[in-house]
Amino acid sequence: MLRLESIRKAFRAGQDVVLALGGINLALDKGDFLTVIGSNGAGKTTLLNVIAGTIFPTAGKVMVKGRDVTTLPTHQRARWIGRITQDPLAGTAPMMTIAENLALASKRAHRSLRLAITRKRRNEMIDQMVSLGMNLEHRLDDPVSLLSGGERQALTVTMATLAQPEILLLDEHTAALDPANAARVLLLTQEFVERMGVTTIMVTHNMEQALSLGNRLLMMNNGEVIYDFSGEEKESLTVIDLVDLFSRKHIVDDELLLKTS
Amino acid sequence: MKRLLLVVMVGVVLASMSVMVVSGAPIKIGICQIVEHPALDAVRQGVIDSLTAAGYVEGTDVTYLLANAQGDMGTALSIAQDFRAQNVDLVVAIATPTAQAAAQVFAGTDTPIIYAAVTDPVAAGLVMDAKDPSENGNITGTSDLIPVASDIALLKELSPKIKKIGMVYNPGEANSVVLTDLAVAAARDLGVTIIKAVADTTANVPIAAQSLIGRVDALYVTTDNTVVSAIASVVGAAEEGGIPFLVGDPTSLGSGVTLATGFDYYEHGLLTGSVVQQVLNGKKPNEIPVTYQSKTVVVLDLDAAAKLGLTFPQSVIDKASKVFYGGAVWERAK
Amino acid sequence: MALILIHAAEQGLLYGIAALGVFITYRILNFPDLTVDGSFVTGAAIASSLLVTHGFDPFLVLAIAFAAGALAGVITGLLNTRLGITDLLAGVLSMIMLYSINLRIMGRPNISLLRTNTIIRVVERVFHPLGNMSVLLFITLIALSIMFILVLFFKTEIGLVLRATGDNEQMVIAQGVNTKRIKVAGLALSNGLVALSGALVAQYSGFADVGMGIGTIVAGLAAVIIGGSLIRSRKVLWMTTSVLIGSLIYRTAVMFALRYGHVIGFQASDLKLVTSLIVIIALVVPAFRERMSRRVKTC
Repeated sequence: MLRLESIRKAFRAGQDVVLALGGINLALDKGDFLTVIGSNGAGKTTLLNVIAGTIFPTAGKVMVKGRDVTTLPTHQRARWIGRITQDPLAGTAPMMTIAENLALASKRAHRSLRLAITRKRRNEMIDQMVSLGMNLEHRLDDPVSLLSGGERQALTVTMATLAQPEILLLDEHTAALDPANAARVLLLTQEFVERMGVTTIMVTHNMEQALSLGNRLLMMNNGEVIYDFSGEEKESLTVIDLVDLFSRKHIVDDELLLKTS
Repeated sequence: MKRLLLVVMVGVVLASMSVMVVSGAPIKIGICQIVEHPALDAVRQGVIDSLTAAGYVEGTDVTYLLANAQGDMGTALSIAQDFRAQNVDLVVAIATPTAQAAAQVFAGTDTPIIYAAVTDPVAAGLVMDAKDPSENGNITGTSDLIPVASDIALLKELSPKIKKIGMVYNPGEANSVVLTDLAVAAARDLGVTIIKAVADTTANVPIAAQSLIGRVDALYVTTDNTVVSAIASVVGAAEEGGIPFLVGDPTSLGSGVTLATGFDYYEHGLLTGSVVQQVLNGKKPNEIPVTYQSKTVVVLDLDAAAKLGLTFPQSVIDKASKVFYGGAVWERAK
Repeated sequence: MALILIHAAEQGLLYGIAALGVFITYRILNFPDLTVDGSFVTGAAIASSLLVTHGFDPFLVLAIAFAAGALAGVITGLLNTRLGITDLLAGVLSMIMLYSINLRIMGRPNISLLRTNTIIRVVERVFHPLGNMSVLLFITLIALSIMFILVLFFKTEIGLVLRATGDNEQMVIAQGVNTKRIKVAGLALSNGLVALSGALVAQYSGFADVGMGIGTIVAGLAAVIIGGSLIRSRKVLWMTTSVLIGSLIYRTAVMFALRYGHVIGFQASDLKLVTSLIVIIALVVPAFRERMSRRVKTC
């Protein structure tokens, strides 16, 4: 489904050259759920950016379903790749209503002069909002700016569902939410990913999350993959093991340690 | 407080409206101009003075509604519409856009429109024919078409060395385009060439003028509103190039132009006033052909000429009605 | 008194169409587009030269004017999206280019339509029994039709994408839309409307002049902002209506400043000052009202 071959990314800041990613190789099958952890500056977000097309790698190839998309611009990759970021406000258009946002999300390719919200579509939206359990079905015509961060992020996840992506990139998408909303959004994400068999990459600072979700785990540091666990090996890992692995590589990160529950 | 202000405003408005209703007897004349400009202001004053001199007392015999479009075409139209809403008896429209707006708004009515300071009324669509007014409807007026041919001939008279004449003009001013084209044609007949430089705003006049230095033997500017507003920069360019400069606006004497010709716009206003009087006395606009001003003047700046090392030929001095010498204006003794 | 209101309404709606164009770029796309000072004249230039020299049908001329304005918008869009020139500068460059282009189209700086068969003359003939109101009714019909078509357009898939591009461009890109193309399309639609307005205003005024576009962006912004401060709603129908209302208020302000300015002691040359004062009052009143009601609540 997704393959990264020898991805390198160097950033130039004046005289200095920073190697954000140094030779990443990764292969994911359809339905894989990969969690990625690492300290700040490990290159996790850069990795997602390269996959999504927000930045192009200095070297290497990105292949989606056997097709080389390395230099394809973001909007052309959006056909297969969906992304949800940490900022709960970034995934929705604030001045437009919930209904309009949902209508925008469901069309992936050709947009025409047809009416965006038909009665049929609207009924579908009501059903979709009911299943969220946040009472949003009564606020379909409210501008999204009136919603809370948690509600907006839940809406973003629903919109991602509608786009029917084959690959979903999650960049700490519950980190900025309060515990109740975070849990709800996470549940929503899991359920949608399982139901549609979406290949998922989830970046998180929460080691428990990283362990309990998905079938594969990647640990990154300084732009490189230092550990890659899958299957049974991953299932048998505990948080203590992870901390131990980190300290073995002399990585001590307060943030990582704090977010272990 | 807000409400009180509103009540006061409404009261004042109603009061002024009632005043307008009570004084129904005097003839209402609406005078509009496209922009604040000394020449156009002079025309307006000339019109009013000529009517006053003819016995129309302001307040009892005639009232004037004055308006100024401040350079905005939409406003010119609104002014004309306002005049119509106020049932003026006659309109005096100074300059082309104002005249066109008035013609449009009053089309099909009997209200006479007298235009002034319109260089080419036929090209402006105001009248069908300059000489035969019968098809012109309710419009007639005065044209400030300057005799460009004689201006060019005058420049030639200054010196046999003058073969190329540079003109700065605004291609966005209809009047100016007409005059420039006439100048080019006249020059051809007189055996000299015109080199043009365009300035679409006053800010671009200096660059345009300077671009001609070194390529021409004299500078000529007609009644182009844009360029005349920035006349000082053209004077500067002429002095730099050491070449004579003729402008079609006699009021610029003393500003450094070597010589100037043309009309006195106050006289133009008096001329327009006389046409207004003809209409007020019963003549219909479509009985009056376009009135061209004939009294052009020539004025010379001896100080500026001295700076150039230029001596005016006697033939030119004979034509002059005023000279600028020793920092003062001297008139020819009658 | 009624005549002054009819004229104010006519002008308010005619220029209101241009204001709708400014609304699309300024409010919806968040793109300050200065092309309009040029494209307004382009519409007038095309309309007048086609009517006078080629005797085209006045209605067809409107469509061609729209197309020409759209082309101007495309140029600005390409300057911005393909050459990376910032929005303000791209608009300014287009406007400057259009000055020369418009002069070329007209052949001279001023074309008189006094004795040409314009759309206004057609309307006056056809709706003769309605007298003074005929032109106003026609203009109202056109303005409202355009407004409703616009509202409908903004409910379509493409229209929604256009609105979203101005609201959250990153999201739209992530949804697979080439926002560069959308911006160009938005600029084309906007300037098409502005040119259409110019073509109508030229026929209404009886002449086209290369300088008649100066101030289009200012008047358009005034209409959008005044309307927006009076009617605060995110619903497209209300937003577009508010733009037309804003334009009506602005033009009426000019008319009143003209007629009654001297009553308060203003001279003819103070017109622009008086107009601005009236606009400021129109802007301040709703904010003032809101503050008053808030004060009452906290008492």
